[in-house]
Amino acid sequence: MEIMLTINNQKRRLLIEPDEYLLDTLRKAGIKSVKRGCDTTSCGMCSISVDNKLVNSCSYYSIRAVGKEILTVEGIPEEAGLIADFITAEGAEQCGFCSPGLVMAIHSMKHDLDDFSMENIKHYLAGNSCRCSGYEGQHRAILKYLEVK
Amino acid sequence: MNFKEIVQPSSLEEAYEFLANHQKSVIIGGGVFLRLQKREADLGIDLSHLSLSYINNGAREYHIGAMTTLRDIETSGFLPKCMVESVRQTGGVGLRNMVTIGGSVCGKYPFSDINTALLSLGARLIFFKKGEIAMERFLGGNYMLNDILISIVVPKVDYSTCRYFKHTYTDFSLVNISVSSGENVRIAVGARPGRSVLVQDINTKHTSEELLDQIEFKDDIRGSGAYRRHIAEVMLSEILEEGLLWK
Amino acid sequence: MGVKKSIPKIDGKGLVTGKPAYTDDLSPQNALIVKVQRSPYAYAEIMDIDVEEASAIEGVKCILTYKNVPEGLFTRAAQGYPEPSPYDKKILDKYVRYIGDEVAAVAGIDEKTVDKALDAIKVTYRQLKPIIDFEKAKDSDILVHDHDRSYSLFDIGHAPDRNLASSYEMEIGSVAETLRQCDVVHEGTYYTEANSHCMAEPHSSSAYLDLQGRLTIMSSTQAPFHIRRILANILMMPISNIRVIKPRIGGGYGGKQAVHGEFFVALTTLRTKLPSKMIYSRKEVFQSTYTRHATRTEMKIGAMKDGTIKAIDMNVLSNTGAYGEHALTVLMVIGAKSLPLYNKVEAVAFRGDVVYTNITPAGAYRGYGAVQGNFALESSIDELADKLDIDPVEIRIKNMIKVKETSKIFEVMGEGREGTPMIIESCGLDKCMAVCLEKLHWKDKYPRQVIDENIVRGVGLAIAMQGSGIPHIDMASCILKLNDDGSFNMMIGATDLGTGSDTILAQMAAETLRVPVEKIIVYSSDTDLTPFDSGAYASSTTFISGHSVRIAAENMIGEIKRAAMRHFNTDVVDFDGTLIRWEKGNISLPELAQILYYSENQEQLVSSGSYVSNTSAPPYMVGGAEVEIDKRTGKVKLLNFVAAVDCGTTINPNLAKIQVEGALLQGIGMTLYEEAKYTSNGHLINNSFLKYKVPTRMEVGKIHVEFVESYDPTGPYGAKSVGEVGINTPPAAITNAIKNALGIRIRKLPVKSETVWAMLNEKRQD
Repeated sequence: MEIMLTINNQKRRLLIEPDEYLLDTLRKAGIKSVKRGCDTTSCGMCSISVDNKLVNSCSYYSIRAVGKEILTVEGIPEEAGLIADFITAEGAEQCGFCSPGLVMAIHSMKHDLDDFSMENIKHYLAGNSCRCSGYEGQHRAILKYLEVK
Repeated sequence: MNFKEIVQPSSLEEAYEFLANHQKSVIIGGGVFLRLQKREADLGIDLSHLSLSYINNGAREYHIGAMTTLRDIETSGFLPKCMVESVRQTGGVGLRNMVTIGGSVCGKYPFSDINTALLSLGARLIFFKKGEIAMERFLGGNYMLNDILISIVVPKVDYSTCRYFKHTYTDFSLVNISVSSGENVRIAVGARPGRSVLVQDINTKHTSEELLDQIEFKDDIRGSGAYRRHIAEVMLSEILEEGLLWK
Repeated sequence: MGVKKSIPKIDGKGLVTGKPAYTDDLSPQNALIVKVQRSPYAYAEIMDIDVEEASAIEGVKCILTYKNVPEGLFTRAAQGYPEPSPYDKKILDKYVRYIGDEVAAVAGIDEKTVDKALDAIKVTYRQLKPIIDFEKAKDSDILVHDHDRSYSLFDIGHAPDRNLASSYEMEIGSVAETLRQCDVVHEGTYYTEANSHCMAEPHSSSAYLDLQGRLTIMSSTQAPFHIRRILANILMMPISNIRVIKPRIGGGYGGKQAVHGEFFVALTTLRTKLPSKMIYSRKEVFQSTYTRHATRTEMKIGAMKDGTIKAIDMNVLSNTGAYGEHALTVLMVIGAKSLPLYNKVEAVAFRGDVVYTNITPAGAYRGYGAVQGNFALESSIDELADKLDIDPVEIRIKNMIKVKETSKIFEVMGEGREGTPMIIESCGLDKCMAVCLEKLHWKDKYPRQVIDENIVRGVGLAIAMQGSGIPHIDMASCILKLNDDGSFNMMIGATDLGTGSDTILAQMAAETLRVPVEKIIVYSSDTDLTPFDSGAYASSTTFISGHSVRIAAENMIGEIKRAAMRHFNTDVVDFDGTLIRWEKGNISLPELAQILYYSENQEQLVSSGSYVSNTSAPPYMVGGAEVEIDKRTGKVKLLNFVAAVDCGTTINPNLAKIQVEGALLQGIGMTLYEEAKYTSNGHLINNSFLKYKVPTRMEVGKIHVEFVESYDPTGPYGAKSVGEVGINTPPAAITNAIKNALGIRIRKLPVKSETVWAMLNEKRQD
């Protein structure tokens, strides 16, 4: 079926299977920042924002996104670049596969939280897993980034 | 789960018609746990266009739309403590922004933390055709209703709290427990690993051990029945020791 | 210029901002989708496989079964040639040996088509009784490789008629005799689990034919050159007709040091002439790639009353699952990278069997035996100290290896063959110990702090070592090419899998050439375009590839000077990275480069460097854990982990730190959470992130990593490896801490809260 999606402020006409998930639709549409890390909505590597809400695109039906604002890392180049500067300054990205999802989670967190205590930050990001870094580097980077913002 | 087609009805009547007229149709709530099921259905009925995402703060009870997400419950600010606490570690924020309370209830997922909370609060389920059913009756029965859950009514209570034990932060609970006191005291235990159940015989003189004697615990990969029971006892003792349940 | 600087990873920003970089991002858009039908049985013979109906489905382009693929035996292990792993695997076999083993591969135009075809394949199995329990596998009636002619390329103790993938033994001195002379002997048996790597990116590969009809494979592999060789051997194609490209890799930790989907995409593309790709599902990653070798280690360790350790006996049983990948080498590393820590013993023996069972194969995983060995050894040391009533720190300081010393083990035990004698040129274990004790506040906290009647805290520690590459086997090379603006292309076979090796190798080149790092343009891991490198494993990249880069850069300086001498018509020039001077003046490097390519005696300057080491400088560390235990539930919470590390010079301190932090978290996961449970019929229960629990960011506690001042003269710029050593200490450090807190000794990983609770109950009843 054909649907119209708004991806990173651009209207895109796309051909999808009826029960397709956004992760697949986005990747087919050339949005390669969105990664598949699991089959069970567990890893957070496909995190994107839909209408300002952080969601796992692997389990979000594409037709549900019609009429909504879909945002991926490609849609926030400046903010993503700045977050990337802080993460890479710590070397905390290592393999980088989970990083775009983490950037989207940080983007949403900034929108959603008022109190950026370490406990709150960790709780908010608990669904974004990383196997390389041991998380400590990410946390150092995020604290520094939030200080600047 | 795969669907040959997904429809997005714009009224409950329309949604119900799809459900009634298609043998192999499935209602899609959040869709997250459905995804894990290896089934094929002809028709998915998406309820997201029915304005069922709301939390109304009434005088004596809360009315929560079936499509309200767990994250909405977490950040509501006023819902009973046991509800808010129960959802905090259900996956990450991304997952909780998708998982709906209605989907959790209708899936009768035994690992659910929110179902235990709702059971302890004496929640009532409002279905489109069959009307009101108590959470306890719904969870207890083996039947699946060919109906649409519209909302969940949660009576306001004086006090509630919950506990769960997880091996890692976002893991399914080894066991969970939720209590409330208002008109009466209710204690629910879930992830036993079976579905959430209520402790039936409650008496102020009962120890946590006596209360949990009524509940059946079993083994699964997260732990043995004996360990589950012990953890439930520790959690319940902690709640009882706080001394707020019987006030 | 370059080294000892924490510059960001050169590819980091591109990765974080989501640029297409990984195999699936870069695969041809119209690639056929390849998926695999997998065995539902732990052990079975395929009596019949009917693909007629599946083949007829529209959009199905290729179906592979054992009937139509090359039959040769090989090992999936991507190791140097000849491999020390048994040849016991076929691309597709008439026999399936674990749940998840490959039965057939289907290629089609999209996933739904392929799924339909997979369902339509009819397989008739004759079920065989599997052997699941690895402690019963040796000399069992059930033989996992009874039906093939599996063999090894040289003697690795492979005995399929006894279910042995490999076995090994050695003894230095007489252990039995020496143990008899000891005042105290500790005996204990320790178990580790078959952990999964859980790298973020599932195993991915794609294939297409280039304009010349050559097979091009893109793969998330740690060892592209080995992959090319293995494919060429089994597909009976010349190596020259295959190109393997390694793009960015979403983590590996050893899990991508083997052939995974490459055969299926290669055959699909060779037969259909169409591009294809195969992306593993997470379930496949868990079930059908491989795990760490689960082990049982029996320890005997004897000492005199004054704490002098005199003899160690280590007896290992290792479970390799259905195929013997890395069987011998992991086994040997269990001893070779733990026993030298206590080099002053009079006698030491190591023996081990690696058995076949009908479960998911085991293979390379960070630590590669060292972590299994460390858990057994460093737990034993604490237990021995306890028996001797000696402080666990004191007994280590008294007995542990020091600089300029050696261990006979280095000479006797290598990886898959004899070792090589080696004098330790740098060893910061004493400094690491001091740092760890200080940062952990050991004096105040040892052994335990009682917080209240339910909560108690304890501290524990362990020392560890690793190696830096495999001497005389691991080789690396580098080509440098001067550009007309004075920048350099650096082509390296070294395989950056997220570790940052592209960056640190550029730093080393810049250091040698005395140019800014930005002048080094790195291109890595493409068998057509980059020179040979064994691959990213065995903690070899910094040490081995680093030296090759240093040599290439030194040679480039020679080339630059030679060109400048010709230009100036002189015999003496000097190059400082910016200017080339001679007695009458100077010229900048960009100026010289421009002349070289446009105006005079035109010539491309190219240099190369190759390196193979005759040593393997061990990095060392001391890891200390502080845990908090709730005695009511048995739940263990990690509060602090202090890692004091000697990895020689840290080429890039930030990247080195993350390597250690990441390795620690995997070690912590292995200790406290990660379990691979099989049912009695061989089904892996923990085959998703819902059931295989890796630590989240909430479980980390506080990790403190500190590097001690160190310089190893055998390493490039004094560097030793840092990728693996961090994973070794958490198992023993944490279980030692639990012992110090509660008085209970856990000898089986993972430490489950239920086990702690049950043991506390037992203790209360005693």
